[in-house]
Parts: sequence; structure tokens; C-alpha cells
Amino acid sequence: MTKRIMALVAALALTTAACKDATSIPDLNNVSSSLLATGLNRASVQLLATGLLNADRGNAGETYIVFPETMARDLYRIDNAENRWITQMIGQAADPSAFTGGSLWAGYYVAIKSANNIIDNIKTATDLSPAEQAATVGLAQTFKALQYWHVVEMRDSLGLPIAVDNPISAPPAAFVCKSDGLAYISSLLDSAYTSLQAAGATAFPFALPAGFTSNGDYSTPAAFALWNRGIKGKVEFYRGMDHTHPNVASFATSVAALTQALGTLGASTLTNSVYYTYSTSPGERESPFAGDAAVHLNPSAGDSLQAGDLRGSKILHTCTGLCSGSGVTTTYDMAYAVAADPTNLTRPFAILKNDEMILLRAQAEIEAGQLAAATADVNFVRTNEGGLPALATFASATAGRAAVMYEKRYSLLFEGAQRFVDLRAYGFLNAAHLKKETAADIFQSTLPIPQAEINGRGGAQPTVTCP
Amino acid sequence: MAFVAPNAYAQRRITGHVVAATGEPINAAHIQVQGTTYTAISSDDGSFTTLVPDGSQVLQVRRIGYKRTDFILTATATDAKIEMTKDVLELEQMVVTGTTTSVSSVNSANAVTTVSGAELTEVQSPTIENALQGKIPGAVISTNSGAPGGGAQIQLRGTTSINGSSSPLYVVDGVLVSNAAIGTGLNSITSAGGGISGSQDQMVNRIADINPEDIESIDVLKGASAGAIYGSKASNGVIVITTKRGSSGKPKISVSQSVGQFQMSHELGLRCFTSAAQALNWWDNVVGAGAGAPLPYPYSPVCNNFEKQFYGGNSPSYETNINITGGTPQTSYVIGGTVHRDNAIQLASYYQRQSLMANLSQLIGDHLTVRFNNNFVHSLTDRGISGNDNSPIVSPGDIFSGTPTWVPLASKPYISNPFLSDGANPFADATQITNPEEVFRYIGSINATWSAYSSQRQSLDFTFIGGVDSYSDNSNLYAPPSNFVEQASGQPGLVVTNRTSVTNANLNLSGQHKYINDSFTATTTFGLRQETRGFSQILNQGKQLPPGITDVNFGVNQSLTEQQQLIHDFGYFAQEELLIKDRLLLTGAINEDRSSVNGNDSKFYSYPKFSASYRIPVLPNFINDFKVRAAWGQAGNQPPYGFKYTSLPIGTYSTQLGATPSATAGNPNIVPETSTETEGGFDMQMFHSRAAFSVTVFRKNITNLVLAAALAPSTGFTQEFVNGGSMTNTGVEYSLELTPVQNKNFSWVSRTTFANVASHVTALSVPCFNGGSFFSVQFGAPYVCQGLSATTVQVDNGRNAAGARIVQDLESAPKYTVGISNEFKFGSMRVFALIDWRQGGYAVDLTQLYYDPVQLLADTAASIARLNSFGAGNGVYLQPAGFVKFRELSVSYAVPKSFMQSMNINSASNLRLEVSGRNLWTWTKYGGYDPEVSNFSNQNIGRFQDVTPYPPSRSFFFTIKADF
Repeated sequence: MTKRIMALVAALALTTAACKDATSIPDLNNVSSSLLATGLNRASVQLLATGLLNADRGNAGETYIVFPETMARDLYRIDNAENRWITQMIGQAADPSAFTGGSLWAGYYVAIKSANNIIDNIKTATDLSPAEQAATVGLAQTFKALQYWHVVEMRDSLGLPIAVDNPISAPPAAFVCKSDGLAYISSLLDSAYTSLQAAGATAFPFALPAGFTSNGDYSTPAAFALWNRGIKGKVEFYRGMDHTHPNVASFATSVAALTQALGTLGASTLTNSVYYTYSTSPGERESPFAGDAAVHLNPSAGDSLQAGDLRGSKILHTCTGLCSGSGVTTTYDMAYAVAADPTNLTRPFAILKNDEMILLRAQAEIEAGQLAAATADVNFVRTNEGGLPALATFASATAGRAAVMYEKRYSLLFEGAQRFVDLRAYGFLNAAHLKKETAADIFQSTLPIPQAEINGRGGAQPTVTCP
Repeated sequence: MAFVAPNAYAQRRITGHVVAATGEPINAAHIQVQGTTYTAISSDDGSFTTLVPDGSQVLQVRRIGYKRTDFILTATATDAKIEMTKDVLELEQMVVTGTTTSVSSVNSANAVTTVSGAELTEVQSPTIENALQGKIPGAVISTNSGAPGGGAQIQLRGTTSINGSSSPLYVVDGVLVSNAAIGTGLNSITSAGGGISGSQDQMVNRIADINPEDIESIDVLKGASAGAIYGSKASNGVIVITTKRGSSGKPKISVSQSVGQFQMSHELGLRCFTSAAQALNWWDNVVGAGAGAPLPYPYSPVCNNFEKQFYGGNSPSYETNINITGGTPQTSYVIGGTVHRDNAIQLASYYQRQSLMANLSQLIGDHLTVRFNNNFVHSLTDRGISGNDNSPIVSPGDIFSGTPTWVPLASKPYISNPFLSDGANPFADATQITNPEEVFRYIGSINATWSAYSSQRQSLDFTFIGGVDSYSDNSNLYAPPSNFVEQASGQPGLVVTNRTSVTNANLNLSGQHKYINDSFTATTTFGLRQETRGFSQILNQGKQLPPGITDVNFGVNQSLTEQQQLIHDFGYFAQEELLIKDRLLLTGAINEDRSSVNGNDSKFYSYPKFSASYRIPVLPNFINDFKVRAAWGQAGNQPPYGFKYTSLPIGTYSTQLGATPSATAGNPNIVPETSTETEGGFDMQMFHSRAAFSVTVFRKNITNLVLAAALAPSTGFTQEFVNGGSMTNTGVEYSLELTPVQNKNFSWVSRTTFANVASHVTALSVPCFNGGSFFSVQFGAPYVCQGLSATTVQVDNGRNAAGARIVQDLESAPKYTVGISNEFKFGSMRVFALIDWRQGGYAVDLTQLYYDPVQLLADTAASIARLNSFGAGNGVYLQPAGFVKFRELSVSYAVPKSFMQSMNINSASNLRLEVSGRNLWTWTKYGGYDPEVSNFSNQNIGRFQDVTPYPPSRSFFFTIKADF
């Protein structure tokens, strides 16, 4: 009996001891989000600011270039095993539940949340001066505005949710129409500009990636504020071009903002911009076309190049690899997307270059009836970047649009959604202006609202109407 | 738990012998004096001694493979000769009910399936999961690849979780072992997902390391009502594996040698081009190169059957086993060794395993028994590349779907594939790109039982089990810079080293008190349990390597990822089992446990169970035994590691670290899923135990489902982990076992099992969502929605009058499964055949979708029809996945003793020759390689997506078995 009692006592003692033993284990693999709750400081602001810029860079990945540039007839990604790169861009409508129609959406809102984390919590960073806080907010708001702009680029008149800075338990923010969205983006850029101005001569309180100083210097709040005006000018131009609710004042606003951003035009600063830079160092990201041998040039981009255009150096008159499939074929390649070229692993990509700003200003001037000014701007890019003879003053807005479209195509080839957005804004996405690429080509003008977004709202396609 | 003061009964010692009807001694028989704690085990010559109380007594004798025998010992007898008869249908087995308890299947209140080692190794199998296919009613076993070395997943009684663990709990000799699936970095080549490594790396579920030859038996507890004692890990069921035990006596040696081969079981059939004009027309018009565009590679009238060339196999596979057992009444041992090599069908892929086991049992003094179980495994496998890929095209099936058959891909020197951007040639890749994955694993335990007290009526034992499962899984993926795909990548030369270590350790301390009298036996168990599970993986990737260098250091472009997990669990349990008159069995138990993965890691969650079974005493003549049974229990499924944390993942940008919010929101309040299972049924034995029929109905109700609730991505989160839903699985399992013929020269034993499960999502706190990994609703995607089954597949199928897509919800899981096995013995011959039948269900056949647009399957008309239909909006790639498989066949012959003597093989006591085959034939409407293979079968739902997999194979083996 004694033995039994001893054994029981031993068992009980062990039980009690084990019970007091802590089972708690922290997250072993990541920085915890409790970082935000405990208040920011200089080090954590650096971490969050780089995180925002990295999220933004991630959003400008391969699909951001390939999808719109395919729809803009500049690019083919020929992959017989995954033909949706063709069939759902220049064929039938993109599938909202697949990587085609479902992409280029969630990442923008993660980056917006990333920006909001900074904007909402910056006051807790008591080791930053008010000017440093303002500089930080100005940068965060500018990149936040850029995300919303990308949403409009890809979804156009389908609208977008704006007021998304809510607790996770809140219902999804309501969709607003495109023109309300553009108005919001424009005002957000203004608010960012004001914050950057408020920073005065104070430096950003964190180190910026190399792409802020690689072509031009955008690393001070003042210089960055001017680049912010460039984005403002871009957004205002498309506000003016909004078919259902054109904002007539926008063209003048656009010209003014772009003029402020550009200052005196310089032939040597045409490619100045904040750039996304890439690296093959551990943990870094490679350039969007790194290692992808399936990307080729759409022959229309090769065929339309004017003789003597210096920008033709980007175009290769042979196609390597598989150059036919999914109903399309080409004989051209594009230097930026040759997988075997190691420079393409780390090729930097611009966000908004001076040449684009000049051409945007030309576009706004054309719509405002200032054809001479527009011609001068177009010619500045045409002669300096293309090495082509200057054009005579445009006889009409139509002629001006065609001219600016040519310059934009070759100055910004394979750099983003610019041509796609222009074709749509000018009403050129149809058989009257473009070749039908495949039998099923519907001249798709937007990606659909992703199925995940629709499902997250109870399954109904959001409908938006502007007041 | 009641202690009754021991009385001083008068008693005597008797000796006895247990023999078979043929007169041969039976060892390891368990003899118990009815109504007492007195027990004995028969030794090698069948003899035993035991104390018995005075007066007439009943000796209950049990032995696996024999029917239970009650022997009446007269008051004056001092000697007992007990004869046992064979239990052909194996109706009498001990089934586990808890960590240290077991009960005879005659009394068991749960439908626990027991698979013996012999049934498991009936036909040579690559790994243990293959060996279980078709043998467990209610289990659906799918594989993520036909590649050698494992990669199969077992689901018991339906899907019981959406985002929680999908694997049953595996317990080997009391050790909770790891069934992790570890990525090896193949994603670095295939880009099937993101990152260096991903879940589409054709992973092996590491339970595959267990050697089927080392197993004595497997008990399958299919749900909470049987497995509640395992608490928050038992919701998916528990698979309790018991390895072989030694038996005392002279050393007995068994050896076996198998040699065989694997063959591709189903070819898709590739197109042959008959003329240059036809080839050119294909290129210009079907592929769409445009009128007059020349072929990238000149046509020749040769038709290469890539499938035969690449999946031809041809090299022999083999397995050698040796097993030695013996001992004294105090010490017994078993030592086993296996060398196994599969040369599988895909060029240069293989699997080999060497394992050693040594189990030792030692009686120290009169009261302490110590058992050491040791299992050491080494496995080495290279599964090649297969399955999903993105950029570059590198998966062989994907390459064949885009390369016309006149291109001599298989000819040396290998050519760069002119029909692919990256030039991938699978024949070159298979020989140049290597990915050996090597596992060293030790599973061991110490099991010490101290008989603290024992009297005629009572016993009190304490058992300590300390166990460890520890392994390293290391792989080295290497693609030389000269490889075509590497050449095209811009950074030729790739190496990925994977260094993973997994350690599970558990301690279990329990007590067991038994009180036995003439009318009942009461067994009380209680104890506590502590577990630690650790996982750590480091993946190093180096790109742009100099020729001949395989060291990651020399990669110009290097990256590294690390993944760690650590989990602490702690729990208590208590169980009371009351067996009255050997007819009524009542069990009640409770388990309480906590875990570091729960939101509240100090809270204990309770998992109770109750069960009852009753053997009806008055029966019609033709029924020998009729038992009704009912069981109710709860078990849990812990939230996966990390679900409680919302993280800010770190990335590097221009040498600065940046933290970006995760698109996945963790939940600090996450709790385990709770599965409540009610099970009932009856077991009937008829016609002198020549027939047995069982029926089990069950209902599992799973609440607090851990969901990765999809959120509208505009919230900044794509998903959030919540406890938000419930579902039920209801089903019926029947089994019928018959011995239609049983005589000296011929016997026939037939077993048929039937099982079905109907799943139903009963509540969902989030909007319906497409869950898990999938490709598109246009092909077929998993869909979780209240009112539908958890295994629903949603597909776009047709368009309505307005041109909008019609979305259809279909069922991916089988309607029912049937296993039919027959065993015939005539003279020295034995034939065993197993048919595995899965009725209903759908699977997504993306393999066909890959081929159809370029019309490279032999049946081009069918391709065109499918593609046109798909273009019109029909879900033609979601295809019926039912099948009937001729799973196993073995024919064996026992060499007559007389022949052995004439050949001077006197040392062997038994010699058998056997020819066996696995997956010999499949009847199915499915168009892809095999409806059992899914790219995503490591997840709970969506195990129905086939993307150019490693094709499953059939195998044939010739085996010689000898006992000495």
C-alpha cells in the first residue's frame, strides 16, 4: 500500500511540475506586427519605409509589364503550356479567378496598408522631429497614391475601393467610380506634396534605395516633391480624359504640375526618374524579366519603327527560342527581355521618367488645344531620344495624338502600362486602330475585378456609378 | 478507481501446453485465468506455467491468428493441454484503445481496422502508404506523384479540416512520429510556386520511411470516438503502428529476396506526323506561326514515343529482408534488416532504403519489464522533375505537350529543344539535373512497466514511455551550367542545398489499475504526456556556378531561407474500462491538453469519450456471436504552427531590410478544431465463424473549423485565420468476410469492404470561398460553402442565354469505396488478389489541357472537340475520377519438404516462391495518367488537380522467402 501511495504522490508531483512549465513560444520566423502597437522609432520607421518601397517594387513585377504591354500590342509571352498569357490578354476576357484576371490587385492594397501603417503611426516615433515625420508621411502618401493609380490603370471604369484604412473586422470599403478615384488620388498627391514641403530642408529620416539617386537625385523631400508633381500631372491628364466624367480643368492642372516637375528641359535628363533597382545579392529581388525566355516583341512594334530611330537599338530583328504559339508569331525580340543576357537580371526600371512627363504634357496640351507647345514637347523627345527629324506643328489634335503615341511607344517600350492606358483613353482599343491579334481577340480594355474581391463582398460584382 | 484489499486465496501452480490442431506448439499465446490477474505467455515449445486459485477454473487463451479458446481446468488438474484452432478470418485481435490499453476485437466498441504485418507485405510495395491502399474501409489514399519513395496521403472518414493538419496522427510503439512533407528546392527550377522551395516540390510524406517489413500490426482509429485519448491531435484519426516483438526460444531466421520491375501503367498516346506537309500545316496553322513560317526543326518521318523512351524504366528493382528473433523467458529480441531499391519508370529516378530494427524486451526481477525499440532508416531518393512548372518549361510532361514527336529528344548528344523558349530537353535534364534527397532517421523508445502491485484480483502497473523520432532530411539539387535550361536562364548553373532536421520527443507516464473478479474486470488508466516537436529547415540557393562546381559558396547569386517551428504540448488523461461477464464493455475517458500553437497556450482543452458494446447472449443457431456497439468521443486538430501570429515579413531592398505587412492575418485567439464523433454498429459471426459481417455508421461533427477565410483583398489582407465554421461527415462502413470453402486441400477466404462518406459544411462564418491551392474555376477549383460538401469542386460549365458563365458545384470525393480481396489456397499454392474500387468523384485533368491546344495527342479529333467545348465555356477538363484498380495479386508456392530434402536444403523449415504484382490494371473514364494523383494532395481540399505528374506505374516482383 505504501508503495502505491508513493507512486501516486510521485505522479501527482510530476503532473503539477509539468503544469507550471510554460508552453509559450514566440514567432520564430518573422518580425511581429506588435512592432506597430508598441510605437515606432527611427529604426522601425526605416524598416517600414523600406518595406513600403519593396512592396511597391514587388507590384511592378513581370505581370505589371507583360499584361498591359501584351494588350497594347507591344509584347507576346509565348508559353504553349500556359497559353493564358496570350489567350486571356489578346483573346478572350481574362479569367477573374485565375492569375490573369485575378492579378495586379491584392499587392496594391498590401502596399497601401504598408503606407497606412506608417502614416497612422508616425506620431508615435517620438525620436523623429516633426519635419522628419512630415517627410516620411509625404513619401508614404506619394507611394500610396501610386498604388491607387495602378489600380485605375488595370481596372479603369470598373471602379475601386478607396477608404480601406479600416480594422480587419470592418466590411470591405465601398467601390467608388473611376473619376472619384482619380480625384482622390490627385488630392492624396497634393496632401503628400504639402507634407514634403513641410519637411523643408530636413532629410528623409531613413536610407533610400539606390534608385532614388541613380538617374537624377530624388533623395531629398524637396526633390522628391517635384517628382510627386509629375505623378500629379499624369493623374490629372487622365482625369481630363475620363470619358464619362471628364474634368475640364485637369488639362491645365496637368500642364502646370508637369511644368513644375520638369523645370527646364534637358536632353541629358530625359531618363531621370526614381527607379526600381534590382540585385542578385542574398534576399534581393531580380529584375522583372530575369530568366524569362518566353517574352518577345510583338511584330507590330518592330514593323512600325521609323527608319533611323535610335530607340530601335532596343529591338532585335531575330527571335530566339519559341517564337510561335497560342495563335501568334513574331520574328523580333526585345533587348530588355533576353533571358540569356545577364544585364537583364538587374536592369533597373523607371517609375516615371522625364521623357514620359514631357510627352504627358504634350498630351495635355493637345487636349487643351495648345498644338504648338505640344509639338515642341513631342519634338524634344523625338529628336533627343529618337534622333529623328523634328515634326512640323501638328495640324490637328488627331495628328498630335498619333505623333505622341509613336514617341511614347518607343521611349517607354516594355516599361509599364503607359501605352495600354493611352490606347484606352484615346479610344484606340478596337479593330479600327489595331490588328486583331487572335481570332478571339476582344480588344480587352481592363482586367476584371478579381473573383476573390467579389467573393469577399458576398459574391456580387460591384457596380459603380458616379453622381 | 477502487482498491479492494487483497484476500489470501488458496492457490496452486499448474503447467500447460498450447498446441495447434496439427499438434504443433503455439508460442506467444496469452493465457489468463478467468476472473483473476494471473496470466502467462506460452514459450517456444508451447509450454507455460501459472498460478491458479483452488477449484475449477477457466483458462482464456488468446493468440493472434487463432480463435480464442476457453479451457476448463478441473479442480484437481495440474496440467492443461490446450488446443487452438486457426482464426481464418482474424476475428480475434487485440485492438488498441489507449496509450497502454487494448481490448479484444470481440469486445471492442469501435470499428478499428487492424492490418497485420502479413497483410501489409502481401505484395511488394514501395512504401507503407501504398501497402495500405484498398485495405482500410473509409480511407482514401491519394498521391502527389507517381515518383518513387512515397508522397501519399491518407484521409480517414472524409475531409475533417480545411486548413488544419490533414494527416492522421502516426504513433510508432508509443512515439508520436513526424509525417512532415519537406520541400527540396525543386521550385528553384520549376517556378511552380514562389520562392526557393514550395509545396509543389513533389514532396515525400516522411511516414514513408517506416519499413513495412518491420511492422507487426497497424491499428487504424478512424476518428474521435476511438482516438479521443490522443486529444488535440486525433481529429484526423490515429494510425497506431506496432513493430515486431521478439518471441522467446531458439533463434528463428526469416529471409526473403525480391526482384522485380516497374512499368508505366497508362500512356496518353502521342501524335505521329505522317508527312512534312502535315507537320508544316500543324506549325503554321495549329500552333499559329503564320502562313509560310518554316519549322524550327526539320521534319523527319520518325515518330519518337517520348512516353516509352522517357518512362521506360527497365532496370530491375529489388528488396532483401532478414529477420531474426529469439530469446529466453526473461529476454527476447527481434532484429531486422531491409535493403530496398526501386528503379522507377522515369529516366534516372530511384528510391532506396536501408533499415535496421532491433527490439529488445527484458524482464528485470519479477516486477520490471523494459522494452527497447530501435528503428534506424536511411533512405536516398531522386525523384527527378515532374508536375507543375511555370517558367522555364521544364516538367517532362509539359515539354512533351509542346514538342512534336519527330524531334529526336532522346538521341545523344542531346539537342536543345527547338520548340521551347528555354530549350528544355527532359532526357538531358534527367541525366544532368540531380536532386538526391537523403534521410537518416532514428525512431526509438524505452517502455518500462513496473508491476507495483499484483494479487489474484488486482494489479497496479506504472508505465513509462520515452520516445524520440529524429531525422535529418538533406538534399542537393544541382543543375550544371551546361544544361540547356540553365543556359537560357541568364545565370547558368544552380545548386540548392536543403538541410532539414526534425525532432519529436515525447514522454508518457501512466498508471494502470486492474480489478478482476468473476463477474467483471475494471481497468483504470491515468497519466500524463508531454511532447516537443521541432522542425528546422535551411535552404541555400546558388545561381551562376562555374562548370564542375557544386558548392553553393561559388554561386554568383546566392540566397538563403530558414524556416523554424517549435511546439510544446502537455496533457493528462484518465480512462475507465469495465468489462462485465465478458459481454458488456463500458469505457469512459477524458483527455485534457494544451499546446503552444493555440492562441491561449496555457488553456487546457477537454476531449472526453464514452463507449459501450454488448455481446448478445441468446442467438439463433447459425449466429455464433453478435455484438452491438456505440461510441461517442471528441478529439481536436491543433491550429498549424504560426496561425496565431500576424507577421511583417522581411525583404531586402538595396541592402536595407524592409518589413511589409503580410497579406495573411493571424489570429491570437485561435483554438483547436473540435471533432465530435458518434459511431455505432454491430459485428456478427455466423456459421461457426465461417462468416462475419459488420456494419458501422458514423457521424463526425467538426466545429471551430480553422479557416483561412478569404477576405476582399482590398482590405490589405487576402486571408485571415479564423475559427469559423462547422461541418459533418456521415457515412457507413460494411465489411463481409467469408470462408466459402475450408478443407484440407482447398480454402477460399473472401473479404469485401464498403465505405462511404457524405460531407456537409453546416456553418461558415465567412463568405463561401475557393480554398487551398488551385488553378482556376474554369478548370475546377475547391469551393467551401455552407450547404455543400467540403470536397466540392466548382467549375465553369457552359453559359446562360445572356452569355454569363454557369458555375457548377460537383463532388470531388468518391461516392463510395469498395475493397475486395480473395485468398485461395490449394495444396502448396496460394493466390491473393485485391481489387480497389472508387466510385464517383471528379478530378481536374490539366495534363490534357496542356496537350490539347497544340494537338499533340494521337487522338487529335478528341483534343479539338475538348478545346472547342472549353472555349465555349464548358468545364471539360473536370473529368470523372472513379476507377477500379486491380491493386494486388500474389501467387505463391510452398516448396514441399520432400523436395527441399532431395535438394539438400535441410536447414530451411519453410521455403516459398512468390510472384506478385501491384496496380496491374486500371479501369477508368479519366483522361489523364491516373485519377489518384494530385499536384496538391498535401492539402485537405483540392486533392484533385493533375498537372503533368510523374506517371504512376505498375510493378511485378518475384520473391523467395525462407525460414530457418
